[in-house]
Amino acid sequence: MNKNTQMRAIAMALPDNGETDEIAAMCSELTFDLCQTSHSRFSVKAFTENRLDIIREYYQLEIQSVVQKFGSKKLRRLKQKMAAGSSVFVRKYDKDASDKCSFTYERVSSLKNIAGLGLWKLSDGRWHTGRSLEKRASAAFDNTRDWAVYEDINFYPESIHSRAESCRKVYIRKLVSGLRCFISSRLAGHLNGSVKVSIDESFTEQRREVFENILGLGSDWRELYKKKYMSGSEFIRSLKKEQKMLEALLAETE
Amino acid sequence: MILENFKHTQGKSCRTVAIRDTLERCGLTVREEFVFGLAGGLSFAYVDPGGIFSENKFFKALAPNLMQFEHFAQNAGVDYRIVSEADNDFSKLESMLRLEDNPVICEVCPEVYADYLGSKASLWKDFKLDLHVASHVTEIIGIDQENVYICENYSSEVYSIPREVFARARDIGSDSYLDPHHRIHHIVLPADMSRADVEGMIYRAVRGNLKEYLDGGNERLGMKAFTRFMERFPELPDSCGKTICRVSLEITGSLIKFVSPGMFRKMYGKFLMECVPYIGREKELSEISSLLSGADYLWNKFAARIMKKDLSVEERMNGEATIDLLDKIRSKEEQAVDGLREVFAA
Repeated sequence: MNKNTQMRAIAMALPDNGETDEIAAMCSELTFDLCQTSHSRFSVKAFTENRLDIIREYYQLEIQSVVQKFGSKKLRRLKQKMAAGSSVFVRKYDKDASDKCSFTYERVSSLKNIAGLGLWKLSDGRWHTGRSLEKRASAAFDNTRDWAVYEDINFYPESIHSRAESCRKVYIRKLVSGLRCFISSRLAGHLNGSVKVSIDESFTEQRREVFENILGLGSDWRELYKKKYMSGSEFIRSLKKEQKMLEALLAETE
Repeated sequence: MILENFKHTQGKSCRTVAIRDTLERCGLTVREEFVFGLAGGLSFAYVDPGGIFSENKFFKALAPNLMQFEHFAQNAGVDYRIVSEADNDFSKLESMLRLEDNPVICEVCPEVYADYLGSKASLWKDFKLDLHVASHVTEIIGIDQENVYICENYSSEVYSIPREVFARARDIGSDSYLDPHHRIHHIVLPADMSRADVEGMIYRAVRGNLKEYLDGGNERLGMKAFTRFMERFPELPDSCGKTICRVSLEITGSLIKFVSPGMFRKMYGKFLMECVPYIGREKELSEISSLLSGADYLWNKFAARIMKKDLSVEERMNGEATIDLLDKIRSKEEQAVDGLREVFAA
C-alpha cells in the first residue's frame, strides 16, 4: 500500500508545515531482511516495519508503539493515554487482507466500553467493535505470524519539535547510515563471492519507491539489481554504490 | 550454538548493559554509563493514584527506561528494528545468533525463570510490584537442544534456562497470553564501531534528552511529573487513604530501589564525566555530576525511608525527615538541570 495513504491519519496530526505528505512518503526506507535459505544461499526481502523512524527523528518525537490485541486492557490503556492528551492510532486492515501492509493507521477519536463490548471510533468516522478490528487483522496474522498487526501508536503532539534541517536531508542521512551499518556489519561478512543472494521483488520495489518516487533520482539504480540472483560480493558492491550515490546527494542537499 | 569470546559485565540497567555488551563485541569498549547518557537516561515518571483515567489505583514513581534503544539508535546513527514475529521453535533466534554473532536482545517476563537464577533468584522475589515485570530484556548468547543461555544485567554469570521455561518467559507463540506482547530488539551495528563523531552524539543525546525532560507533552514524564510528585506526595495520605498509600509506598520503594536505583542520577553524572575528554567543560560537568550523585544518594535514602514498616504511613510520607529529603532532592535536581541547560545550550 502507498505510504501516503497508509500514514495519512498520522501525517494529519503533525504540524502543518506543507511537508506532511512528503514526510509520510519518507516512511519508506531501504531496510531489508537477510535470510539464510541453505548453506550457501541467502535471500533479501524488504523490511517494512520501521515506518515511523523519520517522523521520530525529524520531529524529535517519542512515539510509543505497543503490540496488543483489541481487548479491554488495550482499550483501557489507550483511554488513559487519550485522557492525558496523547494522540492514539491503530491499524485498520482492509477487509480480508492477508498481507501485513494492507492497512491504514486510523486515529482513535473516542472509546467506549459498554457491557464488555469495546467500541472504537476511528478517523474514518465510524464506530468499530474491537472484535471486528481484530478479525480484519487475523488473516494477516495467520499469514505472517507477526504480532505487529495488532500495533497501536501514541505520541504527545505537544512534544513535537521541528528541526532546522530539511526533512529530505534528515531522510537521506538516515538512508546512508542504515546502509553503512549493514555493509560493515557481521551479517554482511557472510556475503562473499561463494554465496548466492536471491533478490525478492519486495526489495527492488522498495528501492524503486525510494530512489524514483521519493528522491526523484531516475532509474539508473535498476542496473544494480538487474539479476534475480547475485553473488554475495556483487550484492555488497551494489549496496556500496547505493551508499555512494546517496552520499553525493546528501552533499548536494542544502 | 553459543557465542564465542562473549564478554559480559554486570551493570545497572538491562537495556544499557545489552547495548554496551553488543558495542564491545563490535570493537567499541565503553562504560555502561556512557551508553546510558547516549540513550537519553535522564528521566522521571510519576503516576497519580485513583481517578477514572489514572493508570491504576496506586501511585508510582521511577526513572523509566523503555525508550533507550530508540534514543540510542537515533543519537548514535545506527539501524534499530523491532522484531515481533511469533516463533514457537526458536528458529528465528537461532538464525539471528548464527548470522550476526551478536547477543539477541529479547523482552522477557523474568519471574518465570527466577528459579534458575541461583542466588540471584531472590531479586525477582523481593519485588513488591502490583504487575508482572514485562519490560525487562535479557541477552541470549546461545541455544542448544536443551537450554537457552542468557546474560542478565544484575549478574556477571551465564545462566542456562530450559528451552520450555524460556519459551514461557518470552511467550512468543501465536496464542500468547501476554498482553502486551514480547518482542526482540534488533540493533544492527557496524562491526567497526569507532569513536568518530562521539562529540556530535553527545550533544544530540543531551539536547534531545533535555528537550524531552523539560518540554515533553506527557504530564506523567519529565519535569512536569517531578514537580507534581514533589507537591503531591506529602498530601497523598489525606486524599487517597492509608491502605492505598501503604501499598503504593512498597511499590514506589521497590521501583526506586530495584528498577531505577537512585533514579539513575549517579549513572547520568558518570556519563557527564565520560563526556569531558570529548567536549571539555570539566569544571561545570563535574559540578553537575556531583549534584546528581548527591540526588542519587538521597533518592535511595528516600526509598529506604518509605519502605520502613515500623514507621506510620503519615511519618513516611509527610514526616519531617521525609519533607527534608524531598526538599534536598528537589534542590539538587533543579540545580543540576539548570547546569545542564547552560552547558548544552544550542
